[in-house]
Amino acid sequence: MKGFAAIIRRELKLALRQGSDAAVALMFYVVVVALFPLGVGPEPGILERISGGVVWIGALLAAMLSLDRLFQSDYEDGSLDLLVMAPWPLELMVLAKCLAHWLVTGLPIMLISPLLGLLLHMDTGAYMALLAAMALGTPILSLIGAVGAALVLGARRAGVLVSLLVLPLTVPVLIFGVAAVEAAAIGQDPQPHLLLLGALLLAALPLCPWAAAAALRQATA
Amino acid sequence: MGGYGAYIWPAYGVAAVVMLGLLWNSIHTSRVHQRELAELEASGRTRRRRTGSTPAPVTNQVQTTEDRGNDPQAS
Amino acid sequence: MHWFANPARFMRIAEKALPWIAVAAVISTGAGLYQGLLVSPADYQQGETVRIMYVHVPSAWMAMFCYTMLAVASASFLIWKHPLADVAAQAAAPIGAAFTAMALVTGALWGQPMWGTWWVWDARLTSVLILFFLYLGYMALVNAFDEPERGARAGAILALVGVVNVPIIKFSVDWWNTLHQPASLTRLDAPAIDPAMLTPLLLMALGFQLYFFVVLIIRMRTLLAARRIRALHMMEPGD
Repeated sequence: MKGFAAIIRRELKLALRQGSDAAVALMFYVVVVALFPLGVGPEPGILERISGGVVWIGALLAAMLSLDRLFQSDYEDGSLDLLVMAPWPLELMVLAKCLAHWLVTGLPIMLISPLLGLLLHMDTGAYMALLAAMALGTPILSLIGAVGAALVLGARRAGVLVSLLVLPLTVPVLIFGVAAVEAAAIGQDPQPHLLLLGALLLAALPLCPWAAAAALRQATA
Repeated sequence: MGGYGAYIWPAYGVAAVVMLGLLWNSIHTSRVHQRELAELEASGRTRRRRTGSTPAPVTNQVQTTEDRGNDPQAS
Repeated sequence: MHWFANPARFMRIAEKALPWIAVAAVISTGAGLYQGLLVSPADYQQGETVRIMYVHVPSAWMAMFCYTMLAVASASFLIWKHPLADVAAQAAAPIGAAFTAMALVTGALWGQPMWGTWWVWDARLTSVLILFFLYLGYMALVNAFDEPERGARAGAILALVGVVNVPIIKFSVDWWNTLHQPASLTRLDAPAIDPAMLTPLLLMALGFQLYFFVVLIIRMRTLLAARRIRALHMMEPGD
């Protein structure tokens, strides 16, 4: 536990030192969402109809941005080899990195999403569902992203490659996340969709660190 | 084809093009590799025999590897 | 499984079997084409366009089969360190991607006369599209490393991650489809299929399956040769 907390502190310190990274991801999110009215037209009816999807797609893309750096600097300076050989489980280390990534990227995305929903005339009744879905969904994005980041270590074009690999795997999060928002927007209960997201999160919590750790081991082999 | 020929024939056509194309590509790449492999093995042997400085154990090593065939664990 | 483990022996046996499998593939596909295009009846509802089913459905089946094979081979490679498994996986991927592309294009060509639109975001076609992305991702990852062994290992893990995800993605796409699909869309395959249509379908499916093995063996031969070439290059002094 102490090791776990120590790793989280280290990751947070590193992430906050490169605070601009998180800010860049957020700005990217805002820019992407802003492009949609420019591309689709400002008609409130249309924007409201697509607001759920756009807010989620933007979040997905923004979450992808910092993924390739999740393990990269450790890989390059050799500290990843040490972490792989360390006495505590590599899976916990991965979990700690995911948590740090989420705190620095996913959480800000989640907090800003209702504001972006506002820009797209999203029904105000959907905001709570949006926050809840984002709270469940963004950690899943960090977890799946960690697997992708571990797989592309040392690969050419790792940045684009990790997005190509991870985005198809995040389709369920997108579908259930948007479904929750749209259900709430028309006055239906978003709970079934939120429960599905919760189930995905519960499944991802043990499985993704395990897969990512396997990928890290074969990367440092 | 009941007027739907414009859809049916392209469908079969695409299938044929893709499958035959993949087959041709696979055969062609295989031939290129076999050729390169044959050249390498021929030149490799002659190179070793020509250099008198190569000690005998190295030559034996080469032959054992070749005896094991395409064993990917060899390297 | 262990019997196949020696690459040299596997290739000798595979090379010997290859002509027979190829002939069987040609016969089965030929018979399927004859039955499908000339003998079998037109559909009551869809008319002649149902003939596209005889390429579309086997393509889709093969797309699924190839990914399953990819996953099994990857598991075999990672868990039991089977020496041929990663070669089999890498050889199967482009074939699977080709079948997936065929399923998508023939699906579009079937959809246009059926529903008046080239593409329909129905659950099955959407799932096949995502499967296509998974294939492309696998191939991109395996080829993104300078060291082929690293690519093989990374690809194997990705294939297993993908296969776990495929049912989840399929489920979520079905879910999504029920939320959005208008009730008027008909399903592509009727539940009860006329035996006159089943025969060409199965013949084509068998033909495609045998074709797969033919191309798989050829591509495995190439990958093993490439490995050997690399090994020889590394052994030669001053290379």
